[in-house]
Amino acid sequence: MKKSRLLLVLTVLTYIFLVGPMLIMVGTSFSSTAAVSFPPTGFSLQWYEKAFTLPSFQRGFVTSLTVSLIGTVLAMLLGIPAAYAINKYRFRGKALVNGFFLSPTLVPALVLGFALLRSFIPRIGGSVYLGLVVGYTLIALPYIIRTTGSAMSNFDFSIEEAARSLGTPAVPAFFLTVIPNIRSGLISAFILAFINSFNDVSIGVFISSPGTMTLPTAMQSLIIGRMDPTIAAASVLLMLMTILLMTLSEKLLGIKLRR
Amino acid sequence: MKKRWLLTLFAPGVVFLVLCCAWPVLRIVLQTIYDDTGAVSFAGYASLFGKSFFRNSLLRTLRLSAITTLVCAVVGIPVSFYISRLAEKRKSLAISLATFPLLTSAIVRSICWIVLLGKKGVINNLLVGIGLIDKPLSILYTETSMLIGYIQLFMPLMLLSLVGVMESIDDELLQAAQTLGCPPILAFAKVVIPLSVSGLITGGMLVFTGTMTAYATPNLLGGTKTKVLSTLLDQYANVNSDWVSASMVAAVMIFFTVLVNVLFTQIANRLNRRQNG
Repeated sequence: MKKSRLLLVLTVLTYIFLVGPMLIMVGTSFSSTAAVSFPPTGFSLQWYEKAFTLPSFQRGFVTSLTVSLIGTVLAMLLGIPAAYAINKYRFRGKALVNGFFLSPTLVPALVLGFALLRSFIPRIGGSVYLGLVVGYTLIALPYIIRTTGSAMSNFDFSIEEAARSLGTPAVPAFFLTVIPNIRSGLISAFILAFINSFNDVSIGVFISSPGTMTLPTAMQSLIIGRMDPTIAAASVLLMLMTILLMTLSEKLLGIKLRR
Repeated sequence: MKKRWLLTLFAPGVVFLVLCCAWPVLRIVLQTIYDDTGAVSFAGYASLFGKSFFRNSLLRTLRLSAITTLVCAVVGIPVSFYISRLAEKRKSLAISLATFPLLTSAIVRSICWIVLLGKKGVINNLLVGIGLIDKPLSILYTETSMLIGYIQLFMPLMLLSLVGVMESIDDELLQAAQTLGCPPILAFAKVVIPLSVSGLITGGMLVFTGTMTAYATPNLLGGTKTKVLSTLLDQYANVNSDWVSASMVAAVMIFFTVLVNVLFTQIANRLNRRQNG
């Protein structure tokens, strides 16, 4: 009994450490003065208005949203066929192929951005936007392989074989049997890979230009100048987006997001 | 027939990975070991490792990663054990509360600590306000603030890696140890910790490599005197435009990431073998 009370205290303290600072930041974002203070002095929504109207945040939001979406979709298009082959067939060199598809995890995202800046972007005509898309595809690909792979490992491929032996061609059989059965795994992989890319700071450190930068990069360049509640307000909005995605997937789709 | 089908399934991904990942990364690394004449030379690395500034940054990176991993493990073991013993509803809430920070950007979580720890931050205002200290404490932009940021950033990874393993530990084992006269704390250490090693290794690897390669946290919570590899790479490339040194730092980061991965996997394999036979 005494032991479990000690554990309770430690657990509560740990959660205060994890979540408390975020709650305090929510408080400071409603401050009516430019000084960062808690408890907040007064109440105003001016910092939210500023966060919404700041051009670099607006552009950053659109950039982050589109490159993360395109990157995640590309990673799924490249990753799902590979995960399917790895899980369904036995063949020589399977471990090697699997390892190669997971290899981007061995390169820190920051270094990946650096390598793309030096050796890839100059070859594609210097497009920062395309560089970001490629970067986020690379970050999402191993993740998609792993999560859809584990969804497929629970799938009984004899169902697909049954459809094939009844005369359904390979591609329709795949979409009629495999996909519906791993649907929730696919959706949760998609949402998590998207959130991951949208929140990422490291790729944008090297792949950015004044006109094209991700939202975290735009936020970071503003903090270097000064710290005012606009940043806190933007952070709260990002947290709200995460909460929204978490509850949406749980309530509407019945999918718990777990890493 | 099957061969061609397999090739069709793998080809798009493999081509993409070679062109956009393997080749650009390999080129950066290879460039650092060839000199102007095209001969293999490690002179660049010799001069890089000769700089005390670089050596200090490398050692700081490894030290902070080790401390972060250790703290996350020491706190994570009892906390994840407690979570695993909660009733279903509360457990689900606890896991969601640990997942939420993980799904929040590292930049947002670093900003929280600027708000809290700054010279005019919440904690200093409070301490000066109640008269406990005269001058605001300088916590921000030190190794301490970096550590606080890292631990908050990566603790959820350790907790989530451990909870699943803890759930599979049978309560009767603990009771048996205590019935046989083992004090509760010792029973915990002798039963729970050995049985949770696999989660500890998974979590430890994620936390260690995560801390080693994190950028937002050291950039926002560290100072010019507390550079780590990631912020050093940023400085060499974006501030000094010293591409040669930047490439070498990038290669060193890859080297240590691979090394840590290999080490942790080796330990895991060895333990598996011992448990199975």
